[in-house]
Amino acid sequence: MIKHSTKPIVVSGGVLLLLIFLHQIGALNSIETVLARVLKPVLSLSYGAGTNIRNLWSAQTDRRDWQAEAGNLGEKVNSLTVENANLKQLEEENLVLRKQLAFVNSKKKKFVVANILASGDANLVNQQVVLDKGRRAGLFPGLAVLSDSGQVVGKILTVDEETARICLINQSDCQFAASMQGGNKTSGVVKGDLGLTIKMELIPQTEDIKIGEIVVTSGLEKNILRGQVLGQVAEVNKENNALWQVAKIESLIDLSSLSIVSIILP
Amino acid sequence: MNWRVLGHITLVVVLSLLQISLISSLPIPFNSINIILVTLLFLLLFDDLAMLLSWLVISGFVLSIFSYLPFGLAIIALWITILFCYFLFYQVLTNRSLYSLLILVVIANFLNQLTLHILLWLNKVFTGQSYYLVMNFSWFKNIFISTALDVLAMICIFYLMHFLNPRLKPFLLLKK
Repeated sequence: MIKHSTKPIVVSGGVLLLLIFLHQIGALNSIETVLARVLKPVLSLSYGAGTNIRNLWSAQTDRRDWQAEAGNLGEKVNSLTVENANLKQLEEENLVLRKQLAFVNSKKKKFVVANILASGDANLVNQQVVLDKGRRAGLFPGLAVLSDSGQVVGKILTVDEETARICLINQSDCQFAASMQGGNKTSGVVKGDLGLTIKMELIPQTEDIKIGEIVVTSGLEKNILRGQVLGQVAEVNKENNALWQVAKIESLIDLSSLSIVSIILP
Repeated sequence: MNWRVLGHITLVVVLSLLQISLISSLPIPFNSINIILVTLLFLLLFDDLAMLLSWLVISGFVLSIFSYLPFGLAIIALWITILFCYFLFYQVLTNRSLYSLLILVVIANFLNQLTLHILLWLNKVFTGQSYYLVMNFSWFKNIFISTALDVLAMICIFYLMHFLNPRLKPFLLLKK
């Protein structure tokens, strides 16, 4: 049997425990902050490179489905154009009313744009995503995270000085108070399901939920604005002997393709 | 500090950054490659435990800064895995061949994932949060895919080092 010195094992074990202890008491904060600040540009570049590779891969593998989807999207664009025109009209009327009532203009909110530095292990159920902005940029736990198209994709869980960790909307520890677009009260709770799907629970039996309806944040939660899009109803499970309805929600964007997100500061 | 040590530290940090950002952003299933684990297992060939554990501590520290996992859990899981593999390599397998390394990659992948899950579960239990320790078919399937990719990565590194550095040849048993 080959004999080896145990000194390196003991020393490395001691160093690990010391690092963990120093981190817990906050003694390593300055070193971690400096390292994070120095390494962030490199991480951002390499994550971007990886995202480009993934997009290229998806382009090759999904080519067959795009033609069919293009046809469907064409029709959708036409109907959305009409809806957009109507909404613009309503928006103008809204602005006039708000001015008259001396409301603060709700569109002029402060945004923080952040890059994704790292994402979680596919084998871990509660995976999170790391952003390159933290406490120094004004972020704090509980804020909603939006995609570039304005859909809610997650929520900030923890923040450090230079980075923040968020849960994605399809994760079990990510929940939002939600309502149907156009509704004025909370209809249920949207939460992720093991990183695979999104569901809306605690929907009263009296609520009439239709497939295709847009689900938005209800404004019940502090620091999350009302009316942020969470997804679209894909399936409704309504049983007469159950207390609540459950709806399956489909995200309008591909959560795995995110690279830049924004956070509205209250 | 001499240039060799500086070179080692730079290489470890670069590999860690690649693991954190580039590899995690690759399409499924390539985002489950664990280049740090494969590299550490490859370093077993050099029978320098101090260097191996230094690489482990530095890479684990960098990974922990940018990881979404609680600080230290990834390092501890890696430390347990590598030490177990070191014991297996030098006390049981005692054969510095590619096949020994590939067996270690398989064992290390499973052990690392299992250890990480158990540590996460313990951490969540002590902090009062809930954690899903889901070990179903999907979990095993993901480990199988991750292991297969790591085995391929190990084969590539093994032959690349054999090709690039003739001094390594006596260490690497190859069929001629």
